[in-house]
Amino acid sequence: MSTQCEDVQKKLPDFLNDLLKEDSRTEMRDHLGICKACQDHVLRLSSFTTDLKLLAQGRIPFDLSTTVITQLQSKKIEPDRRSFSIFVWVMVTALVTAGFFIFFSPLKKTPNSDQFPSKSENVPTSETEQLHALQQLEAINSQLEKMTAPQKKEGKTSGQIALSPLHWDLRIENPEAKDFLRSQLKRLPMNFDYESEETMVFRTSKEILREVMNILKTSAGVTSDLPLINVDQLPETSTPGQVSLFFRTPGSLPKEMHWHAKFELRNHYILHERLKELGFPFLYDSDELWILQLSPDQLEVLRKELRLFPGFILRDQDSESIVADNGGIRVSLHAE
Amino acid sequence: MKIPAHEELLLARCARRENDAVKTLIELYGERVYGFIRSALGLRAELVHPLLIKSFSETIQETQPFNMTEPFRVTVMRKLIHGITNQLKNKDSSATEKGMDLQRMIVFEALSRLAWNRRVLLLLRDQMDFDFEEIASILSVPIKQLRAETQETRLEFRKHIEEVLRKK
Repeated sequence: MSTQCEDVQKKLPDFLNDLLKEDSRTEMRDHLGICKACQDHVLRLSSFTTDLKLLAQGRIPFDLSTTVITQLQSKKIEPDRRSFSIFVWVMVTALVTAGFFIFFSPLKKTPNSDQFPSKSENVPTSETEQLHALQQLEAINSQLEKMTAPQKKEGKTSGQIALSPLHWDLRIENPEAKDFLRSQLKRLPMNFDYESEETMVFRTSKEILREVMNILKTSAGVTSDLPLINVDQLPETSTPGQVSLFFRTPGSLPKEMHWHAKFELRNHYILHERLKELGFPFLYDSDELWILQLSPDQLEVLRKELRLFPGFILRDQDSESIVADNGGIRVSLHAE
Repeated sequence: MKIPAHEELLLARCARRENDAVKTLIELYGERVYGFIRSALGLRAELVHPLLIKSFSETIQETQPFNMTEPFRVTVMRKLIHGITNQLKNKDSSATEKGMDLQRMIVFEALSRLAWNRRVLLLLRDQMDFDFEEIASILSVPIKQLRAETQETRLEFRKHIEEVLRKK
């Protein structure tokens, strides 16, 4: 065996593990190309990996997936620890802020509040100290109640709609009709959550929705993809209903992309999480409507993600034919 | 370690109790993991069927979707290997399967002559194609030590193959 063969055979394990640098690797390949003895050696050394793979062939003698599903169903699913930790973090922050506010605000001083016990007197012993501690606790409680009060009161309002969110695609004959419709809707006393040239998202009570429907029905040159509803038949709820409208003017190129995304298993939250993780900028984000401002690169990533998404069907706009320019593009996805 | 996006999505669906996602996950990895068990234990693979189920269901249950620190298969294998190692302590850890053809019989016999740790290492690297970083994480061994150990294991395995061949 030549010195070169010895050298090559020493390096063979690293060669098989792809651990050699490019120049050493080329050197090895050059030698293996002309030396039969070293070729035999490398084949002998590497053949067992094929044998090992052969050994793994075969089927599982029972239905593993069914057994695992049964096992999972029999166990109590633990709460999402990440959400829980966020919740704990929020609660701790709220408590610390409330505590800080109560103890250090000159306006919120409780009787005797300027007589804080010193560090060595943390445990209240006398009746006066116990009373002082109770007063402090009461002050914290009332502060917390104030902080949570607006949310509690929201549930008492009535006259809202229950079917939420509602979404209509409106086909509008010409730009003038679109502007007129927009101005009519803007006059109504309701909160607009999001507005762009082609989209309007607002929250509305049952009473005002009735007016919205009347405006849509009576506007000339406006047709919608879904029938307009009879508001009186809608059940009521304590929270305001959300309505989104998308305006289309036939013949002109859409300035925004708008997809109706049908998620077969209603699993759009997975895609939502993924887009959040990718750092996509959400201009508007609700349960079923997301509006994103995307760069050309991000648009490509979104298309890729959508293609990978199981049971996902897009309708209304051909995703491939629209290209974002350098200023980016606005994309709205309505999850169905 | 790179986490494949499809794994995160599948596990997020599993967390929502979508049985289809569990099935897909097992279709992806079940056979390969079972191939490992059969190669390492032969007939004794039957003894660890409950461990196989436990490893999959625990990993699915414990994994935090979109917050994974390693690929699914790495976690499953770690659980499984630790379980098998504990269960088979001080016991003969392999037995020839019935109906094996000669070639597989030779490989299996040579493999079973290796110490349990070396057998696992060889299978993870050369049968399941795990990279060194993943194996190091599964076996809790430094990568540097792992590389040297792999070479020695391969040479030892080669030696056993030759011995078995001579015997046959």
